[in-house]
Amino acid sequence: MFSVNNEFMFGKMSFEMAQKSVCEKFILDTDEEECVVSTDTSSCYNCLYRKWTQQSFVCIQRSRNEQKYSF
Amino acid sequence: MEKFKTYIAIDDTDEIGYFISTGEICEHIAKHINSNYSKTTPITRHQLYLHESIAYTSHNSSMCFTCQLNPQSFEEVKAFILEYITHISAPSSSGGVAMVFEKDIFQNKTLIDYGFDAKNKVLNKDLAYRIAKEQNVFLQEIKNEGNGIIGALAGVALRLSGNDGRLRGKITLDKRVILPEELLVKGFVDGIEVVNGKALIASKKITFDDGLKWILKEGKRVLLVEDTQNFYRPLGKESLAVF
Repeated sequence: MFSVNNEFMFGKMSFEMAQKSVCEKFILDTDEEECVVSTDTSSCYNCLYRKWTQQSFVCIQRSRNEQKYSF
Repeated sequence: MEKFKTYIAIDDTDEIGYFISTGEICEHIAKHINSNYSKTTPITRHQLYLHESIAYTSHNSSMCFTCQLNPQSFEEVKAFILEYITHISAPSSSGGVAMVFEKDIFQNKTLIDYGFDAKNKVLNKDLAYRIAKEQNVFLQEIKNEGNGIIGALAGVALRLSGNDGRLRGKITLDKRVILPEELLVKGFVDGIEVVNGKALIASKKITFDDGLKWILKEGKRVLLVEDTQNFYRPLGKESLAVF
């Protein structure tokens, strides 16, 4: 679900995929204003560790750890 | 002493995982001004360019609001903001503050053009300082590289344009169904627009689950709604993310 640059491959409007991609490092953004979807559900789009890009977002946790996830 | 409309914007005061966001810091500043100097207008969030060569935290947005200050209170507020942000902003942040009396802006168009450039181009501090000087905007870096001045100046410019940004926070009502006219008459918004371009039907109710969020369009607070068969529904968070 993420490219080699740790960018989410499904853009900014793939709400289902962003939910499926949530990992154990997920933390809800502390500022509700910056949560793109309902805070009732866990979604990478609401994660504190996502950094928005022009087309999508980069997962900062993945970048930090270079940890390999197996989605 | 006569008071004048004042724009205040801040940017880049947080870092990933920090306990307080730039938006929340801006809320605290507005609250301080409200308590001590002047009523403040709602904060608007302005989305800036997302580019790998820009060192933003996670979403590269700038926050702006307006209030009424006289020259003396302008200086007092400026001193408060600088001290407060220096104290509360994240250690690795590169905060910036922009403040200006609307009456002192030399040429609105030049400043507004800069603001829209900040949404589409990578700008630099030299340009921000040059524009700020020409347009009589107070601009100051806080901590580290101080790149936040680029976004702070853009925040003022975009708010001034009246054609960018969305309300930070939301309008909360004690009902979940309302007629468009009631929202307008009670002053919650200045306009309501149907996103597909159809004319608004006055008798058709607006139904919503959460608070309402407006965008700035032509200087007005506009609620965007989509037309369902039986009622209007305000655009949700997902759709408003682009504003």
